[in-house]
Amino acid sequence: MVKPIFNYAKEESLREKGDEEFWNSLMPSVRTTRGMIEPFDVNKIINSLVKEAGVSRDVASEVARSVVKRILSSNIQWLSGPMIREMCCSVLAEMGLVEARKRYTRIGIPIYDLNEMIINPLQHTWNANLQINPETIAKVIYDRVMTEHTYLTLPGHLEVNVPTGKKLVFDTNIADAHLNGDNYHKDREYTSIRDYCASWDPRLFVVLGLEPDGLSGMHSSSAGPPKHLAVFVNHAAIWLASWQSNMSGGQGFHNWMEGIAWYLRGLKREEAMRSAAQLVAEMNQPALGLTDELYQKFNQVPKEVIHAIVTYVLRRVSEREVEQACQHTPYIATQQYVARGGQVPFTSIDIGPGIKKEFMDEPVILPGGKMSEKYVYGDFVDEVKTYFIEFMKVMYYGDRYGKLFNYPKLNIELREEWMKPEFEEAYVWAARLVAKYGLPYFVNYLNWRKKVIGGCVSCCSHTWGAKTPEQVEEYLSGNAVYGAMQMDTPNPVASAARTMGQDEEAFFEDFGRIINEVTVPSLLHRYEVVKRIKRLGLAPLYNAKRPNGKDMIIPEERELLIGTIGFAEMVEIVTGYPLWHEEGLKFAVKVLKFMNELAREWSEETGLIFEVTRTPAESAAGKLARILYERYPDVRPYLRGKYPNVYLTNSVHQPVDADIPLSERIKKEAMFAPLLGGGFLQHIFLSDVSPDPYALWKFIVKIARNTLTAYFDFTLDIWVCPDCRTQGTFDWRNQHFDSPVELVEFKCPKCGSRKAEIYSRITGYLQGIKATWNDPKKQEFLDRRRYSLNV
Amino acid sequence: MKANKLLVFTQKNCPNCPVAKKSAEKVGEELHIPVEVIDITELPEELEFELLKNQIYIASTPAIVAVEENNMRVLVLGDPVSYEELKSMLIEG
Ligand SMILES: [Zn+2]
Repeated sequence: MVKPIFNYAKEESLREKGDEEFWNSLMPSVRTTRGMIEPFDVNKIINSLVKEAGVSRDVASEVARSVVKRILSSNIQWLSGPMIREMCCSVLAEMGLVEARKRYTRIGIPIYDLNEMIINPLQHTWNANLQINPETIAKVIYDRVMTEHTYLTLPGHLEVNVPTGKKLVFDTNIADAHLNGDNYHKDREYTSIRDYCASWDPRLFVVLGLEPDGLSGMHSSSAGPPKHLAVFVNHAAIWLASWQSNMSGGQGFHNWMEGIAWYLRGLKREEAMRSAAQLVAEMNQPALGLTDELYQKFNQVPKEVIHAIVTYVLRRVSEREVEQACQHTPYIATQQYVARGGQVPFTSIDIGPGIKKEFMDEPVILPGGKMSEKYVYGDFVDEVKTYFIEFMKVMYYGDRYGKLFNYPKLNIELREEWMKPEFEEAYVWAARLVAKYGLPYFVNYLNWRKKVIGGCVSCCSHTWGAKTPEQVEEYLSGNAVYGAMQMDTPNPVASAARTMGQDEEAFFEDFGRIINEVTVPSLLHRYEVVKRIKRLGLAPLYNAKRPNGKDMIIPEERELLIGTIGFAEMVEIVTGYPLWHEEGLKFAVKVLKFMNELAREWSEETGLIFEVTRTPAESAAGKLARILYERYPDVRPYLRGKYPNVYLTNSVHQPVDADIPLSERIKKEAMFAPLLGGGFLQHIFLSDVSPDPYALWKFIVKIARNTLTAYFDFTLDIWVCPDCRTQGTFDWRNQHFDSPVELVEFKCPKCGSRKAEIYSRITGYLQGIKATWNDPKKQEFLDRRRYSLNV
Repeated sequence: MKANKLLVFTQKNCPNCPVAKKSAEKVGEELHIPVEVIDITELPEELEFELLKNQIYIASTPAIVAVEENNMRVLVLGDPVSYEELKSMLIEG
């Protein structure tokens, strides 16, 4: 029996059930969200308030009474479910029931905004990785709805069961901290439904084959382990694409060269000879009409000559196969608009020109998982080098019209075992790619990182290494899955602003409070989400098995990243010195060590992995600066750019416009790398139109050996014109833009087309400036100090 | 470049540390270079900063750093080192 409404309002004459029916009969009909027109029923409101807003029946009755009164007194003739809900929400807010209102509200988009999103979707996103197509509209709408959902549902009260067996309880406000610019909660549109980023070993699909649905191929199909190079490359592309639809961040491969090695065996002379011998033997079989015919046709030719020709031809065929496979990779990476609302997957590959030393004597894992009795990985050094060079060439010559491929991101590994003359040609090809487009990234294992085993880079720059013997074993056997689950960035500039004029202690207290009370619970919230996804089977791929029997995604193995941003501004506010000054550097190191200590304590407390890292900040740099500008007028002089296009300097980088020599800039950023266990990418902005690749290669090695850098790139600014099909590098000696607006008006220097686009590195990837960069980032682009290498 | 001082970084349960330490002390005595032994878990803040500024990070032990006029130079980082090896590193620069 449903408790009648208004039963506690004795002064009202509406106590009787008959009265309730009478009033219901006076009300207009309701257009419901089920797409029907139904008679008004006040009990439906009460029941839904109890169920959805979580209020008591008495409170629900009071709310419903107010709503009925309003409808009657205002003589509304047209009612819909959403309208009634809006009225209930406003009553809940008036009653001070803010949390109940949050639970009861409807997430939606004003019709005006939705119309705008449909005709001008890119104006409604800060995501620099989006490009326009009809699917993009779906993504923009999705992002808006899910972001709002995140703001409304991020827990104020959070209870987390962690691997140490403890139950941690937090009372926090992650959403408000984000909106106030105290803690940047990355990935808001995905935090409640997906994991973040991952780096995979291609040998996972070499052993397992491919079932992209995670349901044994019941919904897709089940493909066996690849036996040929072309299938390997295809499986690789589908692997990343299917994982991209299960995760929000970048997807990459480590151990790519070891994975592909066996598939290159056709390049081996003895393999070609073996195949040739087999073929010639078959030719002699009179049963085969065609070969018999061939044999008769050439019966004047000695057998050995036939053998040699066939060997040559087979080898050529293999070489062509390798060329095709190399071409396939960047095309499929840049042409499959299949992920996250019509984007291309965010892909990366870690490669080097040889086989890594740990793998040299390891037997090759064959398709299906058997160990090769014939080959160890070390048998493929030459073939892998040939492949590497071929791949670099494909990337160098670009697409059909010579335009650069911006995916996959190429992480070129610098390892001691390849610092030999026989690998130099391969590396110089990588340097050519730098000189032409500023394309690849360099992962450094030549300095303090030389003992890192199982290093890989994923997503936007997070670097990993196998730390335990079990991890090393997983890495060698092709079972490793690295990656992060969530990144949150406490804003040190906000703490500096709040404690301006006070001593350092006040800063650390404020900043520590943000990390402990917002950043950490926010990261743990995503951990809870990923556990829930697995439990409910919402992403079947997470529960698929690796060859060693472990689940593909194990929440306890994933990293929780504490990001860094705006150190340049923070340091200047707190110490009065710029970041490149000794005092500035000292304080930055102190803050990083403080963050590392908190990460260590939380790792110990939870049994999970917390790391300090660089935040990509393609959106955060501008958003946080804008909030700081409004909220703390005193910090305005410290922000970069000009209002409204103010921005924070990325991570612990020196400001892009700092007037310091290149070598000083590199060193004064590289020295932070060891304190950023989760990864740190340094950019070198070049003004040279076409640096010499040989000199560039020498410079790369010099940086790698003589500094603490872990991961770096060279950024060139390229223009590309779709109308006259030309491209060029900006010569900054003759190029000048006064404002982001001028940048958008850039025309092709050759044909004057307005469609010409400018490509540069927004953060950890290349993207078209005119189409996709937000205004603060455009301002940063204009402010960048570029260096001539004079090499 | 003449070394003004040798910094030897060690820690507990580091198998190659005792030999590295002995090698450094012997070479130091012979070449009249003062040797300072530092437990990596108790690295003073100032020194840690100086090292970073000189692009040195003690990722593993034993580690030996030569302090020169305006520079610091890594001689050993995480690898075993004998007296002869260390001596030749110092003499040959
Ligand atoms: Zn043009």
